[in-house]
Amino acid sequence: MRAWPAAVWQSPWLKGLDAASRATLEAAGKVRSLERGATVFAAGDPADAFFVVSEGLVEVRAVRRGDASSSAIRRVVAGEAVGEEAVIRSGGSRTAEATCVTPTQVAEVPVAVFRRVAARAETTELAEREQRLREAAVHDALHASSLARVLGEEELALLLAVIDPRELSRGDVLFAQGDPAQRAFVVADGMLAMETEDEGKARVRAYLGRGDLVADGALEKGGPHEVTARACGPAWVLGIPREALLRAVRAHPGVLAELRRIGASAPVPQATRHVMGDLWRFAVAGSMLVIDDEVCVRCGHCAWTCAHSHADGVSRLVRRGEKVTVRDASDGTSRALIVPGGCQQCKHPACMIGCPTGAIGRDPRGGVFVREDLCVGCGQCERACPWGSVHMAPRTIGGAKTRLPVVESELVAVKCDACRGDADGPACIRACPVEAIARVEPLAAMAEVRRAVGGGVARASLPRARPAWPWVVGAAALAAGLSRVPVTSWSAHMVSGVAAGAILVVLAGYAVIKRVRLPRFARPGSTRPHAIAHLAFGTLLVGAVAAHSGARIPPGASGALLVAFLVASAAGALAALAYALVPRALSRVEREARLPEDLPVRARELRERTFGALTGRSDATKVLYARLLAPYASARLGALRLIASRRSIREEETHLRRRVARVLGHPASHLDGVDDLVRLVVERRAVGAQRLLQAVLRAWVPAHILSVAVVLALLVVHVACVAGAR
Amino acid sequence: MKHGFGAVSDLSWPRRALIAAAVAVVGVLIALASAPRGQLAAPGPLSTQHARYSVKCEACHGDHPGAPLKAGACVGCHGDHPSTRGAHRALASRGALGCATCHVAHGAAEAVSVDGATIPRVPLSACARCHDLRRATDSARACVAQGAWAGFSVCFDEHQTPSAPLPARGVCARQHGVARFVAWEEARSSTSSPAMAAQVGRAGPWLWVGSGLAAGGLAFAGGAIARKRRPRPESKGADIVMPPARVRLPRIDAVRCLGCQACVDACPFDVLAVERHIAVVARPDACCGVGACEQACPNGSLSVVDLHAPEPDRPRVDAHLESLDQPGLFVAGDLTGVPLIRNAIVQGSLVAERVAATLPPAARAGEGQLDLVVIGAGPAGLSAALRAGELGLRCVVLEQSALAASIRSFPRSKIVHDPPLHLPLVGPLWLRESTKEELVAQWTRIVREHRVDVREGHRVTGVKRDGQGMSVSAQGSGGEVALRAARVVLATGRRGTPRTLEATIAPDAVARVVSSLSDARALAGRKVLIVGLGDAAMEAVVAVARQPGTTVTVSYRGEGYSRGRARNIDAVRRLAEAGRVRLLFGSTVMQVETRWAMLRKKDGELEKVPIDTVLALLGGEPSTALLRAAGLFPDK
Repeated sequence: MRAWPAAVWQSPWLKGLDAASRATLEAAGKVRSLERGATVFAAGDPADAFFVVSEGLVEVRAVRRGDASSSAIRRVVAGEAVGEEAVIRSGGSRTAEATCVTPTQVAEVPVAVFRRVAARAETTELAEREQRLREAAVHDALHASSLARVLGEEELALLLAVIDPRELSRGDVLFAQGDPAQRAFVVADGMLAMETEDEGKARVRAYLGRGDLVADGALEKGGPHEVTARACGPAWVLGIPREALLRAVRAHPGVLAELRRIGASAPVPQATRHVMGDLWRFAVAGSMLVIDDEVCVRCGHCAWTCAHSHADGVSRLVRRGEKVTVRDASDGTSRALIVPGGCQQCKHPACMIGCPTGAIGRDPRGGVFVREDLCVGCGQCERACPWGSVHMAPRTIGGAKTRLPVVESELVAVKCDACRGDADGPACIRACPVEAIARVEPLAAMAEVRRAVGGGVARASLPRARPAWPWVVGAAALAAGLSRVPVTSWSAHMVSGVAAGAILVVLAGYAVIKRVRLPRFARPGSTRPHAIAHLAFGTLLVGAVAAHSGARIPPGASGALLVAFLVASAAGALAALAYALVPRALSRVEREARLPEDLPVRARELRERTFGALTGRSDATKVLYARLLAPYASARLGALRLIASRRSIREEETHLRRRVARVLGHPASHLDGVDDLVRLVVERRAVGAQRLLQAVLRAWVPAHILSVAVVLALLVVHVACVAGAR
Repeated sequence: MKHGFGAVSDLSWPRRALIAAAVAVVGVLIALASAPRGQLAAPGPLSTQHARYSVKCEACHGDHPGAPLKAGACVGCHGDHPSTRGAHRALASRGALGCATCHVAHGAAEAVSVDGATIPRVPLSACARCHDLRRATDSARACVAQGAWAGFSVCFDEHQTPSAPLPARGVCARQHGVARFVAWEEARSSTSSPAMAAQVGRAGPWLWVGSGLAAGGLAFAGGAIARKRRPRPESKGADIVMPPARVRLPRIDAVRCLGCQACVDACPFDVLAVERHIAVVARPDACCGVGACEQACPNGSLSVVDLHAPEPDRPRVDAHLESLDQPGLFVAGDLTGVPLIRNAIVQGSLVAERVAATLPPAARAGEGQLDLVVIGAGPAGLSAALRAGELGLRCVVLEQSALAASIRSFPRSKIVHDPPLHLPLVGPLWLRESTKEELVAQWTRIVREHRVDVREGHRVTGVKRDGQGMSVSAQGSGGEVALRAARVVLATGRRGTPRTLEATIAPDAVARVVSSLSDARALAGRKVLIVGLGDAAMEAVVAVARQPGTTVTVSYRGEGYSRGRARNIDAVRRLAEAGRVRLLFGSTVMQVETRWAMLRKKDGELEKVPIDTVLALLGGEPSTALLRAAGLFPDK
């Protein structure tokens, strides 16, 4: 540890600290000597410390919102500080970059330690010091905003005097639609959603990010706000009183309208409403697990593999979650994706920031992980994660006591760490037999997110499955040829029998690949080729068995073997057929990914909500419900009809609304509450359809497994009989 | 939708499939083992004649199926071969030809009766082992009908009986006699006789595999059902009786605390603070319970301990809801800290059953003494009384206002609904989708039908132990009432006795004055007068003002925001500034009519406010007063 230069201790921020405090700071921070042109910090770096310049000159530069290149904000000389935004939002990221103009020496002061040290000193001084740091940070943030592009230095200085900064956490409302417009805001950090209420549901009109001006038309005209501003995640905004802003922009007419990115803009297109519903989630995700809803066969092999690749047997992946419609950034095709319960490896993880023992870490590649030997099972991370990706599980191995002398806990935080310990990548992705699951960086892979947030280079990384049908068709042709080969002689019988048996063993090997934890060298990089091979060989085996048996069922054990084989291949073929056809149909009637066991619960929930929605409605609504909507929801073949109609949930809603309008003689929305009821009854029918389709998907594989087990047992008996007969 | 990583079907079904597969294999093997011996590896089922005469495997094969034929096995029944061609005879004498070489006892071989003797037929496939039947010069060629290369031999030379020459018909008939000709005819047609298919042996494979698969399928489905049936911790069991409560919090020994700030520094969530040189728990809600503060404390004056969540107004009860402090006194419904009408009904009937089960017969027989007094005629109380009536207990219900008053206080036409799936329907007190008016009407009818003795307007003032039983005193409209009972159920709920609006209320307008807000949505589009400005009232103001089309007026006696949470005050103030809510400080309600209410404002001026509903949220006497009087909190 090196003693810090005196100039550091003479700076207004650190002046007057006692020796113990200095020692604490020196131990926690560090002094860095930097060359000319070196960066003190870059934009996007985590902001957890500020720097006191002891010699040299540092320039702070930032890209103002709307600009293409960065511009200088201020110059910092010796004795002053840089990077003060850390004081306001520890855990956020840097908005600006600081480079050395001359050879420089800076002392890095971690904010958390600074606070503790300052707290020991007198309280008034602490407040003053923090206040000055805050002012500097506000200055930087204001100068990095779009306002700084049009306003002069003097006008900005006037604004600085009246700014009142506010911190928001996820879901906080900055102002609500209808509130009187008294302030404009500049987003210093984070993201805000501008929402309007539409049929009782919040609909996002725009997202505002760092450097944007939050000011709707009401600000100029006066009157109530037209939109509700809600924080998507932790955010830091600078409030500017309306009068002050209007005064500042008086010299620049029309500027507000130009800077404003909200107002009477058209609603975000329907198709992308989902992804826009929680843009924040996609914007902060480093690597997000997504499942292609139209390909996923709901076998759950990903979750099973996840559970079995962790020593504690707890699956980090649960196939429940939001469904979003996005465009692939690379080819523009529209995709329906499920974002299951699995960690999205945030760039600034809320779980990590909240962890009291530092048990959650983030590795250089961006993976967020839990150090189980440090975790004390307090559950702070579980509460902090907005998407429920962290869970507390019973502790099975090790214990906190090994490294921390604290309370021994029964629980430990578990979350997906993208199998960081495994060089082959996430086990779930390797395990998927249809290549429906993938880890993507939303900023690179999703067109809408890229456009809204301004992401990097587009990369094609959304899940893309290799087709199986060419192989199956080829195998079917081969099998047809095989079945026509006459097998008359004993030796031909033996050869065909041994060949069929060998294929059968190869097919059964697929179960080993899927369900047995193999050593690394034997482990397949992807299950998909094996799945395709399984389908092709299965088809081939039918031909081989037809040739061997001469297409008649003999008596005895060999007959039983043939019968069992017929059942097994029928179940397998039906499973393959269901896997090929059902996911698309299921995707049409899904709003959210649910497990089969959730569906009865959901149906009950919908029934309850329907009665809730009927409460206090007019008699006309109730009669309409009783005559039309209730029969629609409880129709016996309703689910089947919905599947047969090939309509999506949304189309079905439109269809039903039209029916209601025909009955009423005017649009459904004219009658209070009918829109809600239509939505609910359609979903009730859709849940019925989901149950049916999930059952179809789930029924054949167990049947196939059962009958294959019987086939294998009978094959042994058959071989024993033949060998005995010889 | 937030879920734990509980047992999801993704993880459980592969295991169930594996178990089911094992069951299927075992099933099929059992089926194979229990099949008639010899059928497993046999070349085919027994021939019809053998089967008809129940020829056992052992009769021909010795001790086990598949063993070589016993010497003389065929001859024993069939007798010696009547005649044999020279070439065959030569082979037989060398041992190269036996009965089974030509005749097959299994598979398709059929015997026909010729002249009273049973002759097993010879399939051509047996001849074809030695003869080439397609060659015109082959010696057996004559035995084969032209063009019929499969089926049975028509050459009966081997079976000629010297006696009984028969009238000739055709070549064979001329040569071999009519009976043989008939047999030949039959032999040709019997290959497809339905008797063949019906045999056990043919259906065998299907049966074995079918039974194995059925066993496996049942095991799989059974696993699913068992999984569904398994009681889930959150749905059943103890939570109906007792709510869970446990927290971990730092406890500070104020005598030894140095005020050193070490714990304050250590806590990442600012739970602790130092006040007057002593650490205090400033924000208990944020405590993570980890104990970093405990580690940091230099002299051990701070320790993190498990505490039961402070529940000052919750009586201590055992698993049967009997008070631990006052035996014989039971508690049911909201008082136990478990909400929902459904739970109250279940608890009420559980309590009645417990009373009936534990009441000694001696206590039952007492003259002038009831078995049970129920205090409170809400869902829990009525359920207890109805169940008690069913169990033959003499029971009286005391109610301070009217039957199911808590439910009556719900907003108009609120749908009181509970999915019937959940409901363990105990007793006649049903609960289905219905509006609260329907529910109250139905319950009133049930109470009348079951002749439950509900004494409305009786406010219980005291419950005392009295020898073996309890005595209950109540203040009724007709004066003091005293009842003696063996057991008492307290089902008063947590509403206590709401303070009523001290204003002249027109008889028609009584229904417009409610004392609690359960569903603000029901008030959409109405004119609402809210009286009071406590936390409950302010929350109601916010909730009602948020509904479309509401006109909200608030009347409060005080001169400003005198109490309540800052957040509520802030929200109400914002609503008032935005003009959504009209705040009348220093006003009192004088009179309530069906369409309007009369207020006296601060300056003494009277104002008529149009109303649809009046929400009187004035607080009230807490429900704990009676509990304390009944001795449920002995330590306080």
